[in-house]
Amino acid sequence: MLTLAIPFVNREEPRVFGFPFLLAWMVFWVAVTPLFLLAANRLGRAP
Amino acid sequence: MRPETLALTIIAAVILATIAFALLSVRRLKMDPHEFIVGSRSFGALLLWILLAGEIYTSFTFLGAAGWAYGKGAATFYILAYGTVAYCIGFFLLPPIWRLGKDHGLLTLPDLFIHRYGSKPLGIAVAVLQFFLVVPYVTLQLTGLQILLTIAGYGHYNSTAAVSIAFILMALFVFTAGLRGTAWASVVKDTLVLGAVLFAGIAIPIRFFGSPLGMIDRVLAAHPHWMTLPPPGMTNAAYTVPWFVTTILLSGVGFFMGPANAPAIYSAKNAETLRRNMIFMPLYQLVLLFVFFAGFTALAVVPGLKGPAADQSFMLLMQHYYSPAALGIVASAGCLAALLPASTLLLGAASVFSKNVLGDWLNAATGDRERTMATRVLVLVVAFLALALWILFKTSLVDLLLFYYVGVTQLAPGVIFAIAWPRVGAGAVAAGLVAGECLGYFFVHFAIAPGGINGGFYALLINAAICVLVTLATKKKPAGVPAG
Repeated sequence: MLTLAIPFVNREEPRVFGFPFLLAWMVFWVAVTPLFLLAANRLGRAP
Repeated sequence: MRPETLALTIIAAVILATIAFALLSVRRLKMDPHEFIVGSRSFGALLLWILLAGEIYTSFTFLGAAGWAYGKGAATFYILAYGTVAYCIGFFLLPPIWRLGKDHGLLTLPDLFIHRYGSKPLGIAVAVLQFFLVVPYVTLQLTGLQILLTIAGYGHYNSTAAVSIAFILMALFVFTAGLRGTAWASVVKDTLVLGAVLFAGIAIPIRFFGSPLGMIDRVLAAHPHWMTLPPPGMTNAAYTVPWFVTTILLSGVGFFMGPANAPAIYSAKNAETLRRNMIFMPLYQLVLLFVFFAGFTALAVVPGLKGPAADQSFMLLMQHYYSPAALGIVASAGCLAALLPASTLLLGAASVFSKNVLGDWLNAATGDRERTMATRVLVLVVAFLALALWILFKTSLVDLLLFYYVGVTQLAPGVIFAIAWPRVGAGAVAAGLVAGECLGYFFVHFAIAPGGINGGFYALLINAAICVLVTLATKKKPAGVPAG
C-alpha cells in the first residue's frame, strides 16, 4: 500500500490534519508497518 | 570570538569528544577479525538499533533529503518509504542470513556467496564490486561534510583541508576501534542528530510560519503542486509516479546489500534481535518528516538556490538566521552524520577486501592477527581512495547515492535466491549479476529512464530474470557446497 497505491493517492486534497494527502498516506503506512510486522512475528512463532 | 571560529570550535570539540567516548568504550577489548568486523556477534537489541539507525541518518539524510524537498518537492518523499520497504524485506531475509553467518563463521556478504553457491570466484567478484562501489558512497559523505564545514566556517576557511583532516581522523578512529567503537560513537551521533532534526523540522517552521502546517500552507501557496508528483508523460518532468515507485522498490531491495550491512547483520546476538529491530525501525523513519520540513521551510525563507546548491539550503538558513553556537551544534550533528556512516563503510569495504580478496583469492593474511592488521590498513587505503575521488570529482548528493544503490542492488537476486531457492547455482547468479551491473551502469551514466521508470529497476528485473532462466535451463544439482 505504501508503494503500489502511489498512482492513486498522488494528490493534495483532501488534506489530513493539514498535511497534503500524498504525504499523509505515506506517513500513515510507515507508522502502521510495525503493527503488520509484529503480527507476522507472532504468527511465525505460533505453534 | 569570531562567528566562524566559534562554530568550527564546537564542531571540532564534538567530533573529538565522540571519538574519545567510543575509544573509552572499547579500550579493554582484544581485536581479532570477529571482534573488529562483527563485534564478536554479541550486539543486543539497543546497540544493534543504534548501529542500524546510524546507517539511516547520513549526511545524505541531513542535507540531501532537505535539498530535494527544497529543489524537487514531493520526489523527496521516496526517502521516507524505501527504508520501510527495506525493513519489511529485512524482517524475512536477515534472520536466515544471520543464522548462516553464525553457523559457518561468515563475516561478509561475499562469504555468503562463497558458502551458499560453492564458488570462490563469484564471492571474490562480489567483494571487488562492493569494494569499488563503496568509494562513491563514501565520497557522498565527504561532499556533505564539505557543505557543512563551508557554511559553519562562513566561507572564510579552506573546507577541502578541513574535510581531509576530519576524515583522516575518523579513518584512524576506525583503524583503532572497529565495529563496536563505531556503534558506541553512533550513540552520541544519533542523540545529536535527533535533536538537530527535531529542531530543524519543528522549531524553525514555528519561528517563521507559526507551525509546520503554516509552513506547508505557505509553500503550497507559492509553489502549487510542490507536494505531489508530476503525472507520467508530463514534459520535462523527471520525477514522475513510475520513477517514484520503482526507486522506492529498487532502493528498498538494495538497502542491505552494501558491504557495511553484512557486518551489522552478523553482529546481532541472535535472530530475534534482528527481527525486533526490523519491526520497529520504520518508526525511526518518521523522523525524516522533520528533515523534509526543514527543506520546505528553507524554500520559503531562502528561495532561489539551484542545482546542487539546494543541498545547502537548510544549513544556509541556519547560518543566516541563527547564532554561530546554534549553527555549530547543528553542523556538528551533520558532521557526525557524515563521518560515522563513512567509517562503517570504510570498515565494510576493508573487511571484504581483506577476507575475500586477500584471504580467499590471494591466500594472504589468513591468520587472525594478520587479517586484523590487513583490515585496519585497508581502512586507511579506502579512506585515501575516497578522499582522492572526492577532491577530483564532486557531484550532487542524491546522484551519488543513486549510483551506489543501482550497483549494490544488483546483488539482491543472488542473496535472496541463496536463502529462498536452493536450486539456483553460481553460474545463474553470475550471469544475472553481470547483466544487471552493465545495464545499471548504462542507465545511470546516460540518465536513461524508459517510460519514466528508474533504469536501475529495469536492470534489477533483467538480472533476476536471467538468474531464473539460467537456473531453469540447467540441470538440478545439489546446492550449498561450502568453499574448500
